[in-house]
Amino acid sequence: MLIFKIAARNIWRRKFRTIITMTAIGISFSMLLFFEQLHLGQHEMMANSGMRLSAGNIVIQGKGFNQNRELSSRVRNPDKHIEVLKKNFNSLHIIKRIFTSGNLTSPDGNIVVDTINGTEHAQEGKISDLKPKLIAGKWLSGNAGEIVIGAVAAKLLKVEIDSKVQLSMPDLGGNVVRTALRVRGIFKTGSTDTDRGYALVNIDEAAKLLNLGNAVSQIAIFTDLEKSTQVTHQIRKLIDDPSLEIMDWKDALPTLSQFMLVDKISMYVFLIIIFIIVAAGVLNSVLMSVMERTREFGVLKSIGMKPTSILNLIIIESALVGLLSIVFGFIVGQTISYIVYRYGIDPASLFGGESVEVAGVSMTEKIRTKITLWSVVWTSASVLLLTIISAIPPALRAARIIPVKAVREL
Amino acid sequence: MDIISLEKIEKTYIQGKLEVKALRGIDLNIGTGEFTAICGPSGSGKTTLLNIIGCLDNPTSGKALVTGKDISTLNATQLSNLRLHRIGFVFQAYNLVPVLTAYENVDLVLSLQGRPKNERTERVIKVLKEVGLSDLASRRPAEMSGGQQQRVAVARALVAEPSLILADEPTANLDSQTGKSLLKLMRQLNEEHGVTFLFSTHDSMVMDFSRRIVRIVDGTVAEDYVKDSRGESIETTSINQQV
Ligand SMILES: Nc1ncnc2c1ncn2[C@@H]1O[C@H](COP(=O)(O)OP(=O)(O)OP(=O)(O)O)[C@@H](O)[C@H]1O
Ligand SMILES: [Mg+2]
Repeated sequence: MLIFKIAARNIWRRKFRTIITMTAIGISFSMLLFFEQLHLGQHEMMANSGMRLSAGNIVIQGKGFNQNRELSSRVRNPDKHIEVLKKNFNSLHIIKRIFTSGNLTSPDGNIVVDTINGTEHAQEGKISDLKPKLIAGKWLSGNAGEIVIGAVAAKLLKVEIDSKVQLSMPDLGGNVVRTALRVRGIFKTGSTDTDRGYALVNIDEAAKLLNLGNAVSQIAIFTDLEKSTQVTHQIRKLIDDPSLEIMDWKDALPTLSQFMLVDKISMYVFLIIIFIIVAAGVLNSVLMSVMERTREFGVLKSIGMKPTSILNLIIIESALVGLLSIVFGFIVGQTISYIVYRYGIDPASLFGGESVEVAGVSMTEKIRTKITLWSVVWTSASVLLLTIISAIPPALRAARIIPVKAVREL
Repeated sequence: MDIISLEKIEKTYIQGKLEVKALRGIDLNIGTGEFTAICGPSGSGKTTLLNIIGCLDNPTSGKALVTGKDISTLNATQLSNLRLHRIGFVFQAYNLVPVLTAYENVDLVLSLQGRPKNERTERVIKVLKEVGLSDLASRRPAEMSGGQQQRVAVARALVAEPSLILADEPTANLDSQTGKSLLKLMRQLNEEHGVTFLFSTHDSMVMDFSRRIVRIVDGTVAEDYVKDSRGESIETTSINQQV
């Protein structure tokens, strides 16, 4: 159609103005795209590391455990449930865990350990962030009498690999139980909370000590982060047991998901600011181009062009500007995003200090962007839509031009 | 049948508290195929009259039939369609879409009419040839002289084979030589196609080319006469001298 030809050529009529407009839209779009992908990456990283330490994408726990973290809230027949899960899903990674807290004592020190994770060593090892961060010794082997502790704890207790420590904690009945363990491995995450207050032992040993029998605190299930809510619903249908709580990571880690929500909201505020800038820029430049073409539209209407065609013409013009800006912004934004994906940003250098903790999750790894098709689609679609919407008021103005007046006003 | 039939057309502009009577009862009939000039002093109402005939403006009162249709009964879309299909326009200047070539400017009308591509191509080439611009088809308005631009405008007005072409001072921005050749062209097209031409002017040279001259003074028809080929006035329809 000739209308497309007119539109395409019109945008280059005022080259400088068009380039300024396109730069503004393009840069705004590239920032939007980059920050969206940075958020995605950061949130995923936080969710993952939070989950790996104390939850899963999905957890099955005794009712009330998420609140009270007590041994009394327990899953009594974990193996029966795991069987159901394995029968119905084929790619779930499942770990049984017993969580409690206690004291570690050495000849030279004594510390409180907030989280003692009695776990299946092999399964845990596959997903653990701590295993790659061992600075001495080895991961749990499944043999009796092992413990893996953090570097801060080791320093406070003045222990090394193979040193003996004593673990004491209340069992299910509330009686304090004690056992002697050997330090098998020492990890260092950089987060003091984790390096001091988190320790791993073997699940069988923990169960026996705590008089739990077959029961565990948690069945942690790992699947795709995006699918977790959906899978949670499916599991709830399969395992209908009122003594259990089955929840996805968002419910299992409320502080983390709240932080992420707030962070998302701040992202939307940023988005609105960007949108206002884009809208104002488009409105202004389209209005200018309509005003200076008043006579031209008058002539076009005189020879029989319909108001809707003129409206379409202006809309197509700004849609083209929007599209070109998005292409330009995509190249810039996606390049930056890719660089950050490839090399990462050190959170410590970003926030200062050695390690950064956000909502109870230590950010010890580099923040990387997460590049998804959907993030590209929705950001570009919304910017395009916005440029079109912003062009509507000036386009209506052009469509309403009265030919006799326009032709007279020279 | 008359292509234009005006009865007691009045047009009053209201500017704040001021009323400007631009047309004070115009009666005018123009037959199909005529080549008529409307002349008169500045401010006499020529443009106003052409705008009403061109369905760009409504008369305050009176009855206007254009191509047989009473324009006061038509809505905006119908008026727009009437302009698109039955009337060609040539304005004083800046007629053309600057970003389109001569060819595309002419093609635009056919495109708006939704004609098929092959028919359009044939017609545009033919009409550009008729106005003598075949060589400049791919030039944009800015790359053409004023006279050439006006020829493109004439080609555009003609291409859809309208019944009526209206031109408001088409030669006003041209030097007399160029103006003369534009008029010659229009006269020739009038004779070949039988399309009715109605244009306004205050250029006496333009009047020499016209078969019929309608003189407007102060919003009324002061004189209306037809000339023979030697330029002698042979018939005077209405003389209404008031000045
Ligand atoms: N939109 C308008 N508002 C108010 N008055 C107007 C308007 N348009 C025209 N007029 C007045 O109507 C009268 C006729 O104007 P018109 O433009 O028809 O004259 P014209 O014969 O075409 O003059 P010219 O030869 O200078 O083009 C003039 O007095 C003019 O001032
Ligand atoms: Mg005039």
